[in-house]
Amino acid sequence: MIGFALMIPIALVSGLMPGGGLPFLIVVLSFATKLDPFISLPMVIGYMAANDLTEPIPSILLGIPGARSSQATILDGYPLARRGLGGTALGAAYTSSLIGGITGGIALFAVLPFARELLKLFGSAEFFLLSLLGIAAVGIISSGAIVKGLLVAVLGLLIGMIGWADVAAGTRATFGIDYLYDGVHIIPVVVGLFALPEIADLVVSNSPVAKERLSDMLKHGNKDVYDGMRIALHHKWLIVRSALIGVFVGAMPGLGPTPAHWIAYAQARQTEKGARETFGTGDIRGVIAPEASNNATDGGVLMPTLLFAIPGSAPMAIVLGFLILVGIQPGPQMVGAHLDLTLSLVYVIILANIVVVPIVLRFSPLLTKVAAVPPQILAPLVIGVVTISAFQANLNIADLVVVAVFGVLGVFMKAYGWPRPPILIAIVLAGPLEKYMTISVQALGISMLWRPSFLAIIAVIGAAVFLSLRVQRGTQDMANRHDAAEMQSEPNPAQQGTSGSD
Amino acid sequence: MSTNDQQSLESSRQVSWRSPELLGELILLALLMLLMIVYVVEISGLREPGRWLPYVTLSVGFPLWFLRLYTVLGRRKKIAQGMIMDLGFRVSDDASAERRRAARYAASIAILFFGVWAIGFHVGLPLWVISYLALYAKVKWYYLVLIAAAYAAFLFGVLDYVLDIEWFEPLLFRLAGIDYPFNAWPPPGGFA
Repeated sequence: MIGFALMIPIALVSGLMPGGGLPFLIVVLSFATKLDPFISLPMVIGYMAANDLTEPIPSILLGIPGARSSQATILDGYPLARRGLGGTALGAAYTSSLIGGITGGIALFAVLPFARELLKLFGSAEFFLLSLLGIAAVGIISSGAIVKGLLVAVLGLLIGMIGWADVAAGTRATFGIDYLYDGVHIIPVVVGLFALPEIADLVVSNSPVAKERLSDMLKHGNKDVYDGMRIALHHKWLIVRSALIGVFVGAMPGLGPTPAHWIAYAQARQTEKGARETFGTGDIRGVIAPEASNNATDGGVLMPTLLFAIPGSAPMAIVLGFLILVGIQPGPQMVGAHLDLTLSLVYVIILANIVVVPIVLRFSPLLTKVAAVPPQILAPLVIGVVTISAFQANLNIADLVVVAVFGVLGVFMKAYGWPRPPILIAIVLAGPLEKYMTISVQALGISMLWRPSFLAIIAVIGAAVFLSLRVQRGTQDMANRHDAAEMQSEPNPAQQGTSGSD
Repeated sequence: MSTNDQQSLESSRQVSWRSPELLGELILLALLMLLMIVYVVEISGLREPGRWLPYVTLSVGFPLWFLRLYTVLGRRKKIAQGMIMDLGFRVSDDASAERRRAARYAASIAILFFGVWAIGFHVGLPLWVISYLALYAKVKWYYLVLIAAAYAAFLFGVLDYVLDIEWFEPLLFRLAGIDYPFNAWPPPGGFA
């Protein structure tokens, strides 16, 4: 509880910074490896759940997505804020997030008994196949380009196999460098691949925010926020529908909250009365639907991550790496020996929403000011902390070289549409994959290919990838239409200064 | 122009040989091939089960590598597909200002890493943070003092006192033949 309480202010502040959530998650994870998993894991999940709750603030008030999963919120949230109804939009967003988050937690809890029975049927051969197909599936889904995604997964596996291997009774691809004998440590890789490119985006885009506009957008302070809550509760069935979409899409491997919130937005536009005319112009229902869905995915993405070691989103790929680092192998143990840990995560997701929503409601105007801190001030502070994180994970100065190498790679991949999560997942899963492969090949040989469960996994993952790609294509079309519409409309004042002073 | 028209135009676009995208991709492919060749060379020296995963990885990796190379050399670049888990970089109309800021960012990271390697975390890191804030963010001096104090408190309080980290010997200390003083802090047995 103390760890969770410590996480709340960090989560709130980092959620406010456009692109700030991921670097701070990495910092939290790197220090959490020093703690007992029963303290550190709830801390991390609590951080993620609380972080989601402040993401709508930059989207609604500044017109800049705090994360990709709050892009749809801008469509109606920002026009509302420009009309001086920012507080109303925030109140509606918090309320729908609260209900969505709790729905996600309950859904995770409800799935556990079924997962327990299913996982009893799995042996080493099935987990070998799950790990292998999981890496491939995330590679394909996360980029939308099969060759690029799989090549990144191959690169990740080759990096993950570097160093001493018990099964090989020797080292692999160390190039004679002592540092590589223990393999490539995951924390410097994550800092380079994810944190540095996100901070680069913050610094290079340098979006200054006019503070005086924020006071105009929150004209009536908390009164508007409470009005927004009342309006959201009036649309309770929209919230429930959107939350269920969030859980379902979140549970599909490799999709996560981004498609979920766009689908929730689209279903609200299709099903709500008069929404086709008013969505995009400042309709409160256009804020409620994506936010409910976004938070509900917290429970959904944990299902494939904890039960099958297939991450549901990019942050979940990092959490998966963290789990393996602290000695917890996702899979049957999460509903067996570690069931208490899984249940504690359910409580944390629900508790984080219940505790954090009143805080953000009370301190909305203050939190809004944090979102307006210039990137040039935030960047060095964050870089300083992530540098320490990278070093203290392994206590070797060569870790900074790893950070630099993967930082260059991460910037390139982010800039030119190469998916970064598969590389991380492959590095993390290379060890368990090799272990399961060795056991199953030695025990079963070629006959493992004809096991019914083996074939069933291939069919299920194949169907999930197909469905995910279909969902993704629809989501991309929706996002493209939004971008095209935005280009035709007036420019966003929050981004007018993008090319401004250095 | 409709979204579909834009996409089909993008998917058939030709990319200049000098574009950073193409050059970067060729370098990435070259490094990947180098790594695969290292595994091919080393694989025969490994004990049997230790060869299996490299075999599987390479048998998938080589065909994909040639497929990608064919696409890149033909410069038939597809639109940056999906990026479903990613935002990409936000870009504006002022490319020169962005290039300037990007160069400054890269240089400042290089200076930070070199500084930490040369003089250690305890001095190098707070010094870099306050220099960056003073030069680029024009932060007032009293805030700089506060921020430097916060970093020092974090390094001494959390990393030295709570976690008791064993620091590496920075370059300048090694050259001067002086032991890094912060490895002896906190003193053995505490302050009593």
